[in-house]
Amino acid sequence: MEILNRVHALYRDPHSYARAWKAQTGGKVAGCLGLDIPQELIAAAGILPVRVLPLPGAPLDAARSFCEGASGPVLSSLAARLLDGTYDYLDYLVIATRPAYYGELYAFFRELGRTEARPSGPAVLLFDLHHDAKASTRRFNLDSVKGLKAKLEEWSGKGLSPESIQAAIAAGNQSRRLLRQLNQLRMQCRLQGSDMLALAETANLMERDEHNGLLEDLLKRKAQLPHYHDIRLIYSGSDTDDLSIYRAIEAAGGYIVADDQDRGTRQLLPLIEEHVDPLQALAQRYTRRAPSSWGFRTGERIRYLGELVEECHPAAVVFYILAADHPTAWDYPALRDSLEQAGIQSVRLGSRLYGDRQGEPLTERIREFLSRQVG
Amino acid sequence: MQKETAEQTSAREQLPQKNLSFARENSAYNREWFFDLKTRVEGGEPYAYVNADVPTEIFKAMDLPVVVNQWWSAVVSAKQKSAEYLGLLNERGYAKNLCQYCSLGFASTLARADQDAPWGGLPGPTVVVSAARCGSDQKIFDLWSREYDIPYFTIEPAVAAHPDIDDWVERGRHEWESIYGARVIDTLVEQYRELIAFLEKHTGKRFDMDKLEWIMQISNEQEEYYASTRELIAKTSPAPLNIADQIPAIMIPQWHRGTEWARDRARMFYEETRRKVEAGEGVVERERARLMWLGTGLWHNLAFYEHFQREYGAVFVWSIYLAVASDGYPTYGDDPLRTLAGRMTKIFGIMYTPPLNTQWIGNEIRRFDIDGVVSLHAGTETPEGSVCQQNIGYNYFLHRMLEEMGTPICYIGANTVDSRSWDDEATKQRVANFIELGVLAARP
Repeated sequence: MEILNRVHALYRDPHSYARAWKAQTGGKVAGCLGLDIPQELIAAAGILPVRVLPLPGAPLDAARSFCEGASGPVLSSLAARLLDGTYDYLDYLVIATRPAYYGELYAFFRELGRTEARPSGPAVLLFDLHHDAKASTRRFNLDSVKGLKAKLEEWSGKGLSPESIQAAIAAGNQSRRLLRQLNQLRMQCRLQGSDMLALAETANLMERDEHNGLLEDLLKRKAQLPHYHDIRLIYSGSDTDDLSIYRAIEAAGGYIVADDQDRGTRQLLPLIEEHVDPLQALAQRYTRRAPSSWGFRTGERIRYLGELVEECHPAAVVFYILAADHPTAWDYPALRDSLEQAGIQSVRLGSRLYGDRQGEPLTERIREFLSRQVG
Repeated sequence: MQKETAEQTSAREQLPQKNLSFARENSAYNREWFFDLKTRVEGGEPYAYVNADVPTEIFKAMDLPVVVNQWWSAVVSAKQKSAEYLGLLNERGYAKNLCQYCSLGFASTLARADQDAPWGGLPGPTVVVSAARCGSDQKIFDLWSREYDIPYFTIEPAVAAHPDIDDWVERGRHEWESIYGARVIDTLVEQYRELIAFLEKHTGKRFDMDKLEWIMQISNEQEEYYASTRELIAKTSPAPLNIADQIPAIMIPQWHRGTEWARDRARMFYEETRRKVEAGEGVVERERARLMWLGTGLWHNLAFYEHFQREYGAVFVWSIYLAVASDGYPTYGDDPLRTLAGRMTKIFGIMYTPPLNTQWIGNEIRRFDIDGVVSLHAGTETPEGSVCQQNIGYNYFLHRMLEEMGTPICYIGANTVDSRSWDDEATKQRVANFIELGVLAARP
């Protein structure tokens, strides 16, 4: 289907839209590193927010000398892409503090700039957001959102009115609603997990209204979508920075009916309240978003995965966890045990290396699991 | 990994030479304190189990006993139980490369039937507290909470976005807020107040601000003794003490900081070090090289450090413990809770915030006249390796600074507490090569 082809093309080349947009509009682009950043606020300032992404297998040469020692693979990949020109179209870079190593990246760029070892790059802002359920957390996070607003006003040279922020929130919520409608189709086995991943991620690469138009078009054409009959699975674990893992699972006869990772439909929950102070609403929503392993308690993760299971009725859950993704690995045994108590089978795909193409073949492993356990 | 021989085990398990007369007394006090704690807990008294970045001063101001995770981890490791206990964690599905130093304490509670548990094993805590810095800390303490149905409090520090680094070492004792920013301090203070309310609710203990003020004062006295001791060691060759002597002399009282006992032990440490300096007593007769150990202590093998002074006259004179005690802990201010927040911010800023961390290392190298650096540094990304406390650029900036200073560095990639990953022969050879070729041979 043409719309899906276009979405996948953009997913494969996440920079093409932003470059073209910038050339056509003369506008500014802000890279967003982390799911905690209220992109709505950036959009309200007339700046295009684009998610900054690592890429497994991409060259690390630009960052190699900086990464020796204790840099994990995702951090190394992010640094390399920010240094090697991949993101040379960014005017600004907003860095969140979860996962914690994003904060290290901020400190690194700050130091690089201070020592003048870095070629000129985007202006960098740290966006510090916490996730604990304390009163102090709410105050801190609201303060962070206000700080982001002030910086965006400085960057854009204009004030951000409550109306402009509310309009951006409305567009963001509409995006989430449309994606959730598409996710319903996915649960009805009409859209593959890899398609849904691309749809969710490209929302972070385009102007919302334009992306929403794509989603609406796709929904209008839902009758043309195929029917899949593979075995229903939930993916849970480390973020997938390309489609190879999902494609490997799908090639084994698995149908990823839901995903429990920050690249997927975890981004869709919850909506932002639209009838309260917009800065409060943003702070609240990003504080208590759908729980990832970084920054949220294991009990919240168990509940979230349990709700996914109840909603999607999978035959099994596939855990894919990177060796360097410690918080996700810490969550795994409790999630596995909770599934077992609920009578849901699961498999863990080893302790994987980032971008590993040489390890245990995923498709074979999944196929074997599916035939042995699920039948 | 090569399995060590019985002979090697025996050699490794030998305690390092105790060059301080009171070292055994410190260990004995620690042990007695722990057994007293167990008795009190059995009698129904609450106690808290906390991570190292949690201010124990608050607990002491409530007369609430507190055990620090990394202290207990060091005890377990020193008793050679890390492999066994971490294995129990692995059996539950926790990957081998997960943070051993910070999870060994929890792992030790899984060995309930162990008749040889260190000091009879850790009693069950009433509450657990950690910060949320690296992502795994929160998971580990959450595990404590879920496993034993214990209330858990998380502290989320703010990142210092724009530290004012001009003369930060000199300003650190008094001007910490201007270095790190009011927001960083405010964020911690607010959470400390919430922590106090949490502890009062779950333990029945009451917080005493006057007592905290006293604790800050007496702990500052303790830490200033460490600073004076540091100067003695730094300026004396041959060094009167190596780090195997220093670490227990510092860390045991550090876990008890805010008490007269701890202050007195720090004074004793200073006085004995001064006596040694005045008497010309060095750990070696002929000191050929002064080494810096960069990283946490090798708790399962403190004797490792002494091997090189015997073989080469190369003395490990510096570790983070005395240096952090000297520069991170002494903190002064009018508001004790705010000052405490300043202290905790400084400690972690010194170690983890660029450029403070690299500048600090450079200062210490000059202070101690260091000839070479041996860095523990975290492992690399493998299913077996562990990328703990991920950072980027630290080794780059450090290396660049060391090159400018002409100070060689050797990275050994070892685990502080997990003896399973330790290859004694290979590591000794690596460091020996570094000393011979990188340090001694490089001299004009």
